[in-house]
Amino acid sequence: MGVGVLLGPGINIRRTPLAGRSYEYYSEDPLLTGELAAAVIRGLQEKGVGACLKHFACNNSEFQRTKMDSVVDERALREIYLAAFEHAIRKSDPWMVMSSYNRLNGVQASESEWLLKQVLREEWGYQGVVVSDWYGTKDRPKSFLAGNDLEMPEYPVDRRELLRAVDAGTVPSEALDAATARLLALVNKATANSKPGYKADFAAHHQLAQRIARESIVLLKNEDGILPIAPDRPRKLLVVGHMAVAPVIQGSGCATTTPWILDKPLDEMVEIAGSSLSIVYVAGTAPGGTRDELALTEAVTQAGQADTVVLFVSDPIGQDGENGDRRDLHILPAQEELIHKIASVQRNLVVAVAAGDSVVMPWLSKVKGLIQVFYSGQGMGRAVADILFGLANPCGRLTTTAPNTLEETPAFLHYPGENYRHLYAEGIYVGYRYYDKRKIEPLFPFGFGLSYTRFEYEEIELSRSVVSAEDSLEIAVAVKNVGTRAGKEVVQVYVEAPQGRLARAVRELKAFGKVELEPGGRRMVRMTIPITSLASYDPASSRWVVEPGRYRVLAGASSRDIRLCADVRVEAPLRLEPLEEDSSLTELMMHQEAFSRVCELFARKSGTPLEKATRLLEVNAPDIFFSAYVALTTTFELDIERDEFRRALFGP
Amino acid sequence: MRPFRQAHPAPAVPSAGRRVVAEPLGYELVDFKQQPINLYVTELTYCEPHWHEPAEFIMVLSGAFEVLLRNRSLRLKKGGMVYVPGDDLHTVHPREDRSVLLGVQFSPALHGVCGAGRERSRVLDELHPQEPAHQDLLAAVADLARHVFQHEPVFGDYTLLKRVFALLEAVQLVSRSSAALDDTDISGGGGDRQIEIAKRAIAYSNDHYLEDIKLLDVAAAMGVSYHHLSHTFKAVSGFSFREYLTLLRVNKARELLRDETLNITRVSSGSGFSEHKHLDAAFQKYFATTPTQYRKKYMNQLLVCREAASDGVNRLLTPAEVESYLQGMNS
Repeated sequence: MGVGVLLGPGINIRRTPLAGRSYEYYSEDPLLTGELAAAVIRGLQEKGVGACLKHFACNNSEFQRTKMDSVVDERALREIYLAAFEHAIRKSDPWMVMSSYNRLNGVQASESEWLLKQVLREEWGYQGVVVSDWYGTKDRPKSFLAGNDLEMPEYPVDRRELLRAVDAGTVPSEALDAATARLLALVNKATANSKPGYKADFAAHHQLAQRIARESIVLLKNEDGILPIAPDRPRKLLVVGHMAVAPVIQGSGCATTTPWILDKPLDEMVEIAGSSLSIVYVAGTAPGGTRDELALTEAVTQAGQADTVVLFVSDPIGQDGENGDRRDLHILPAQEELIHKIASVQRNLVVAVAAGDSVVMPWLSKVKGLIQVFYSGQGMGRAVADILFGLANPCGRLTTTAPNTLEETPAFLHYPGENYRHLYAEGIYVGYRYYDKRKIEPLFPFGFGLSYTRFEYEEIELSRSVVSAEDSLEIAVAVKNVGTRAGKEVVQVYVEAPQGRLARAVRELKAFGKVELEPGGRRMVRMTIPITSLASYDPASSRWVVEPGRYRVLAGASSRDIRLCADVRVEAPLRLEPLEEDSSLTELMMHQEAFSRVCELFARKSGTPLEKATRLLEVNAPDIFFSAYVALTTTFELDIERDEFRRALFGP
Repeated sequence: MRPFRQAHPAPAVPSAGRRVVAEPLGYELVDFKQQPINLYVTELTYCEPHWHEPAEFIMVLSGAFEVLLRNRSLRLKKGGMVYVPGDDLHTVHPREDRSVLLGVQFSPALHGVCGAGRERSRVLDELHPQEPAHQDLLAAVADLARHVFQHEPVFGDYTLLKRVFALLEAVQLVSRSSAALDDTDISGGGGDRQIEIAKRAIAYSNDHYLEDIKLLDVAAAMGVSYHHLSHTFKAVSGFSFREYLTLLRVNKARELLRDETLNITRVSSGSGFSEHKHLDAAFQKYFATTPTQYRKKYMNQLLVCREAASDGVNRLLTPAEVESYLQGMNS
């Protein structure tokens, strides 16, 4: 039918750095994920190309991904895993949503009516097409009834089964009509927007790819100002690592593409500085990244004779990717050895890492410069060269926490799951939320990234000091570039909630803004957050709850580098735990109306005046740990039937 | 002129038996074991002075060229043609933007058939469409080109050979007709010796370009005076020796850059430049680009066309483009 849709973006939360498809996903934080995804989707769909948001939901690792049951408590589900999807869908309305391979709390996601109908359609109002992950349908009629409109790819057996179910009446024709209508709407959208004969401008796209890479790469360490390397001052520069000539730019699986134009770090470095610097290249290892004695020796010898060494390393390519997670967080062993051996003869060592997610760095103290490239696509070679030589000022920030070890990561204890059951035991404490709560100092915190210039946060201003749950709060942060180079800063706003009934992370990202500043330049970065974004999900009452109290708004350069703060008071009704028949007196006292009804009942049954009855209960409440009903009938020896008590408790 | 496969959209095996091998000897070795001719149509940007055993026919399809043949400079416009006998030193300079030429190289085996003795070069400045002999030549060219685009040229294909000989005949006839220039037979005496000197200098350069050679060294090695060599070289090839050397080296560099397995830091030393900045400067001067960009564009082109359609400087034309130029010749 000529319908082409981009099967992306993938936005599963990066819960563990081992996850094989980390490089496709955005972050460990749901707000950041949702915002980035929404922007990508809007950009695509504005040009008439449909997006398919995936994988819905909780496909956070590749290990046994079609059978593994992600067991996630509802708060974590709502506040973390689904929140990213909700945010993206509400903000950008993707044409399609793809159900995931895994099971979620016992039910195959592709067959989960709760996920695909109740949450996605009824609660979030989504009206697009739901499609299955490829070959991910196990029971077509069941998945259809649950809300999976389209099975991909189509195969005859399933088609027959669905048809049989329709004929038998198990699949009502109204459901069929609704799904068909949605699919037709999709076909219309796709065909209306198709541009036959459209020629892609590869050169322009490549420039964009270079720009994206340039702004995504993160500078993590820059000791003694080793970077940038002056491109016009003569020196001997040694480049080591196959990645410099065979760049690692992407992972494997369905996100793999063949770039029309590909930048190689070494070639780009030579273009920039080859005429002034003497640039020498050695591989350092065998082509596959395995150890080679000769290559290693040559690298070390050359390193001893150079002024500066730039070493390109990567995580084991091909180990991760679709259908496979990483086994550990190390870079290739032969490359680790290279770092140690080169560092022993050369102090001026810069390492550039290409990896799908964080790597552990036991060698960090031995290098002066560290650049985290991640998988940056076809423009990576030029971007890295620009950053190394200072033609660009690095401005990327980490979207996941870099751990010291695998063992300290939040998901470590239960990953990858056992007997097809993967318990997400850390609950809402995913990523930085975990490290903050447990007071663990990671290697590099969420939001971290260095620059060739310096920024100062001069002031923070909140539009109001008291707000209600329906309001929005505008936060203005003044940032100044106090260094000597133009650069971009990512202002991050976190909010600390007061201690309420529900457990909270220490602080959570609620807004961010990227701003470009000339040296000496100063700007007010303005961000707006709805107070509803400060809510927690209360499973007891199945609703989002904004808890009243004093909230602290923090502005900083990373989740562990807070520069300014300001308080805002949130006024909202106190939502209590719902009363139950076995609620204690203390709990009962929190519910004004119910408590006065019970006092009246007490007064009536005991013949005491109401005021005295009330005082009695209030005074004794802290000491009585069992239920109010038991207290009334045993401690106070009143003759009250359960029905009577229930009526007083819950009202007539 | 660097001979290529004809611009045929044959997908199969890119280098099936007709791969160009540029020997580092100043002349180009074309493999004619299996094919009687090598036909190509190219948008030319750059061409070193060179020679090769097979004779070569060149016709201008668009734009204008200056051809240095032996020590004569010839100005060719659209429809103009030159026939260069085997082993004759020649250089081809495009003199306008988008100058396109059609070239045919003839297997030496063909000339054994045609007759003995040294062949003469032949020239036609431009085509006069009213002249029957010129029309015949154009028809012969178009006929041959179209046949080659549809069939692989192989020995034993007599329909092809018929057209080849038709072309050779047409060239002969055109040169005899009154509207044509007299053929420029400049054999004999000083001319020949000058050419020999230039050729030997070129051969020497091709052998020693990796070293730091000066014209003085070459003259000494050849047993001629510095001044004589300098003057002769310029007269015959149109280039100063130093310029020729740079062009030769930058051409080698381009070859090395097209080999992805060779890392870029080795290219300058591998092509005879003492420092990378000299390679850079030469690239900038002659191709208005950098070695890095050249390599990237070439790799991109490989992906796009799936064959080595161009060396990044001279562009091979598609059969469709060639057809439209051929049509345009009649006007």
